[in-house]
Amino acid sequence: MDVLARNNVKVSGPTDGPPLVLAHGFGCDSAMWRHVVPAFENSHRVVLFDHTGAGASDLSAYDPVRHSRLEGYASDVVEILQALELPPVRFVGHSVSAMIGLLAAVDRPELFERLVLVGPSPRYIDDEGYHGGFAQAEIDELLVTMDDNYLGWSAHIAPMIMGVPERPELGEELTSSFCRTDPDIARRFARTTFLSDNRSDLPRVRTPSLVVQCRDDVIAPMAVGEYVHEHLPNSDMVVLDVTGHCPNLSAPDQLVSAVEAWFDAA
Amino acid sequence: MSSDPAWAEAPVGLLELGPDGTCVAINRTLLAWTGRREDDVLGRLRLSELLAVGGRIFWETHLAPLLLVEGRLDEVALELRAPDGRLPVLLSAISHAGGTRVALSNAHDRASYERELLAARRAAELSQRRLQALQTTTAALSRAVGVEAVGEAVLDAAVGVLGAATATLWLTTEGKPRLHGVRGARGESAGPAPAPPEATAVVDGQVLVPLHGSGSTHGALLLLPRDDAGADPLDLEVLDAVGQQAGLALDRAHRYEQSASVAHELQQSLLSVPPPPDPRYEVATVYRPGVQALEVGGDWHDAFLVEPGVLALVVGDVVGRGLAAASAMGQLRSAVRAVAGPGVGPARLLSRLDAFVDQVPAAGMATLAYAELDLTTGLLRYACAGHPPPLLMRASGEVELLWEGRSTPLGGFVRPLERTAAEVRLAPGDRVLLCTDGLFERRTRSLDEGLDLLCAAAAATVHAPLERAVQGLTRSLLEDEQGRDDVCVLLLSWTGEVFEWSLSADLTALSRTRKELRAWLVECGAGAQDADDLVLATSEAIANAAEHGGAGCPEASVRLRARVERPADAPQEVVISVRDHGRWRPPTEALERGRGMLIISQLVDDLQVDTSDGTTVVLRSRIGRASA
Repeated sequence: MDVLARNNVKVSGPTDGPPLVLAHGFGCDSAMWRHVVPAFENSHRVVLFDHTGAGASDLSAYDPVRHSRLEGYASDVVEILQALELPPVRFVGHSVSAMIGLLAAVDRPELFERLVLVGPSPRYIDDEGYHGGFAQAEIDELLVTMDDNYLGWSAHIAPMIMGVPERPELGEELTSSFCRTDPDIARRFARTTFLSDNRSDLPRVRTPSLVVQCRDDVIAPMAVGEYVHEHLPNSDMVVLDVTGHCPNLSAPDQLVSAVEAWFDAA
Repeated sequence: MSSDPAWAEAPVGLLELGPDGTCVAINRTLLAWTGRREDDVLGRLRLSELLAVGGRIFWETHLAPLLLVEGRLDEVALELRAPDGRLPVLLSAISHAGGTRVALSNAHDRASYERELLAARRAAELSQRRLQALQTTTAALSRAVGVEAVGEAVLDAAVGVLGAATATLWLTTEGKPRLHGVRGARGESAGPAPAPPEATAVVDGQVLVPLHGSGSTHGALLLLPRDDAGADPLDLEVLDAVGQQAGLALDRAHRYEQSASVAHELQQSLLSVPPPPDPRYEVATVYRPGVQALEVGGDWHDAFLVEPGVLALVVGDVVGRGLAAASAMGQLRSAVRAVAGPGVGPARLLSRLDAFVDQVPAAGMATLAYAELDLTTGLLRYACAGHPPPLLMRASGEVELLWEGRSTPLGGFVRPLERTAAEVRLAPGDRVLLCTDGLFERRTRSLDEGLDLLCAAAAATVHAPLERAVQGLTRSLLEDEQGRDDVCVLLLSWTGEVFEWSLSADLTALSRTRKELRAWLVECGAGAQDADDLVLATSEAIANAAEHGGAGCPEASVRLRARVERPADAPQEVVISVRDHGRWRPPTEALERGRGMLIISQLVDDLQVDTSDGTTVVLRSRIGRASA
């Protein structure tokens, strides 16, 4: 299998620049990084990809068993890095990809130079002595909401799955396919994302890490970011003055400066 | 704006968001739907906070990014937090330079209708998935032959299409549960065998599936669900159906094994007839049934005397498998024995088998390698009917495929008017290998490559003892093979003519023995001087043995045995052994015996004495002629 085609891997920037991998989170695809890429493209070898089952990845490669655990996505990442034959990378993971990158770095530390974790959460559901921000019932409700938008999810993905080349509107469909994928896969990805518990993996990370926390983020609240920073052995933390969970779209400049500053300080 | 009735009293909820996403304007309709006061909302709340929690996550992870990238959202189904519960709405939004305009319309009726549709669709999808899982499992079960294979298919399906983390299977053998196997991610050891319940049941968080057959219960399958975040739960209904299918498959498997064992016994009884013992040759064979061991095949090997002094060697392959092939094999094997006889020879034998096969259609297109070896002269006459060529392994180490004497398989539509045969002369120590194509033929390589590998493997075993050679050769060639086909191998070693004589201790027959031995030595190619020396040395050894080894017991005998050996790259050598049942004596008598030994050692190239069981004196001498 061609791993680079499977995950729609795109590489840009100078070949001798330090490699920078940008990994999108749950709910969207690599287009999430559109405002961030230009800032790094002059200095870094920038790698973009879609998780298996998201964006323009090969949906047929989605495996309900392999991808029922974040470790499965982490294996995908390792395979991508091996296929690209890059020196140790700077990995920027947004949302659930922060955990995916972290698991990959625990498994294959030699592939990673640094980790930037944007809005990370090792566990979304509250537990004894731990505040993740959500109750189990609320995650179930998310799944219902996703089901309610079944048509919205599926409408735009259909021509891509069926691959009807003579349809003139296909190009148009592709441009507006952002954040849309197969509803069944999206639903499974939601369960894998929101029902995982990776707290015990945090102390196993040896790679230098930066926790990027948004000041007002209902998905990954401040307390969760602090928890991650506290339990990651070799980590720094920066708080962005941003509302919401997607600073890569809503405040790309702040995100870029924080990351660049951390890179420069090393 | 807030006072304009077109805004305030619009039949849809209207909302303006500032650049940071907080509400800057809200109409009265939406305030009423959410049960909030304008002051609590404006400048304080963001849109996601008006939503029920599922929608809030969806908004943050999916809709907000979508809005930021595409600038608009259309017809998104969400729920508002309302004073008396939730209100389903459809949301549309459009971004502009200063923020975002949002419109929400009441979707209560539509939402319940759509949920019904969705529920129906989900039920259909679930039933399709169930059907598929059941079909996949049933197909695997029906492909499995035999109880062990059905057990493997059950375990494979359990941790595969049925989605268990770990599966443990017990099968009932003679009324007792026997652990068949554990499969899955966690290699936990199995606990005690659970009693199979009436129907599939949940026990301590695990699922226990009974395997009921039509008459009896064949065992139980215990499944541990996967606990990965995104894993699907185990489906009890499907598992129950799988348990029933597995029970029926085990019914069939037990019946099949009973009939298969009949075929096996038949085949074994046909293969286990050893050729008559003779010092001039040795035969070693291997029969390796295919992995689907219950399917007997049509391969056979045979070795028998056509007439005194002529040994027939046969390896054949009847097309097909199962009882029909085994019984056709049995008939063809008997036909070969019946047809072979003095004056027939390989070519005519094959022609007569053609006629026989016309009467036994199940034996049609069988292939056969047939050879007759003259045990005195080493002349090998052979013929192949569509069968792999015999392999000649010279004692010197060279190997050679015998490509002559070939014709088509037995009883084909196109058959030669006369079958052909060929001949080759063996030297003492040479070996001949006959085998079926399963030994070297693979789908993944050409026939020539397979034969090259066969030659290489044979060359590596030339100097090994016969039994070890045939076993080692078969093992090395079958290493890469999945064991689908059955395999027959026959390896013959011809040691050449042997001189054997037994004398009573009174030596009345010594003079005749000397004459016979001399004649045999000359026949084997010894010159007059070599023959005289060897006869003299042998006489000394016999005299010693009779005198001292006989221990004064007149009925004791001395055994004389002589053979020709051809070591690799050396002239041929006569090896003569003289054996008695006495022991070495005290020194005085040993001295007498020792004097005889001195004479012998001057006459021969090598002298060895072995006293481990009686006394055996072994003499060796080259007899001039260089090896070919």
